[in-house]
Amino acid sequence: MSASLSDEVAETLAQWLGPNTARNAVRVFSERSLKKAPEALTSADLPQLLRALQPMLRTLLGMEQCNEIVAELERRLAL
Amino acid sequence: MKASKLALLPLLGLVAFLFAAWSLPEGRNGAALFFWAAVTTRTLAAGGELFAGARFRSGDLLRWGWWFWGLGDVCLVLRTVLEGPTNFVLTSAGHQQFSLFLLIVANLATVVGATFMARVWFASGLARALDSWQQFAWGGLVSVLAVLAVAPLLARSARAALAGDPGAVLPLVSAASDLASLLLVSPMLLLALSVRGGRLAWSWALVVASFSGWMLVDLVLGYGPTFLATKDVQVLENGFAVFASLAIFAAGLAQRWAISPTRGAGAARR
Repeated sequence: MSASLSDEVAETLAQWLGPNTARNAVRVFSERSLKKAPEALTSADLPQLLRALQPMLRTLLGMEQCNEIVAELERRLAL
Repeated sequence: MKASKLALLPLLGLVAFLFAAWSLPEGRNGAALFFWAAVTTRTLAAGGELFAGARFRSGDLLRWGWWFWGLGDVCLVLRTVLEGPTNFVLTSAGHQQFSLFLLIVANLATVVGATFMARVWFASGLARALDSWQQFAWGGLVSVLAVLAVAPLLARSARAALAGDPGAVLPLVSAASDLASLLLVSPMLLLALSVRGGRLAWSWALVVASFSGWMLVDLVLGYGPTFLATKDVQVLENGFAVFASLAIFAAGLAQRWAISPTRGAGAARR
């Protein structure tokens, strides 16, 4: 995944989580679940990244909003 | 209305209340003002909390956090109404027991709600993204402030209760519950700091502001009698309670708006 795509995920999340936490979340969950830096991810890694982010989003925003954000990201990133 | 404007509501409420209370003519004790301010703001608080909780599903921690807080405030409104401006209704032992029951349920619900809200910080995984020493430092600071705020009231009411004063049970229950709730604030504070710049920030910041208001109530009750006139203690205690109730009302609205589906989806598409 290019830096611009990982940035796009972070930008979307930043609307709710703020820029720092959104960027950190993408980095932490990329490294933890995919063992890769965000810049090293490919498009094929995105579904797993979104799956990894879901528990956090569900906790902070609730199930319904989490599903909406994930669906929105999937549309934007053409997954 | 933007969520940031909601933050003005508790401040405006506090200023308006203090102005009204300190403008009362000499000789009037303000019981009616305190009563109506408490009923109005706590009803708003309960409404905001229940409104926010209703946005979540049953598996969401936030639903239970908001709803337990809502239950707590509903009980406090009922108790305030039952007691009336001058406690005129509490003439029978039955009424007094019911009032005590409402207070205990309200305090338990508040602590349980705070536990759910504090768990959000850990369950989200954000706790692992922050240095342990920072979390420890914030937790320590908040704990020290909480103990300093509540200790005099807790010690005074515990001494009176041990001496056999039945009237000390209510303040003892309240003080113990306040301490338990305030000790749970640091995860909420860390969450508020973490999500700054995002839509969730105002909701969590207002939650922390509300707890700060209750901490100020405890400070006034604990230390005020030593330094202030009785009327000033009453005015400040009730004023900070107004602030705390309006802050949690605003937090509920901010939470609801932050995750409203139309706003979220629309913004994401932009």
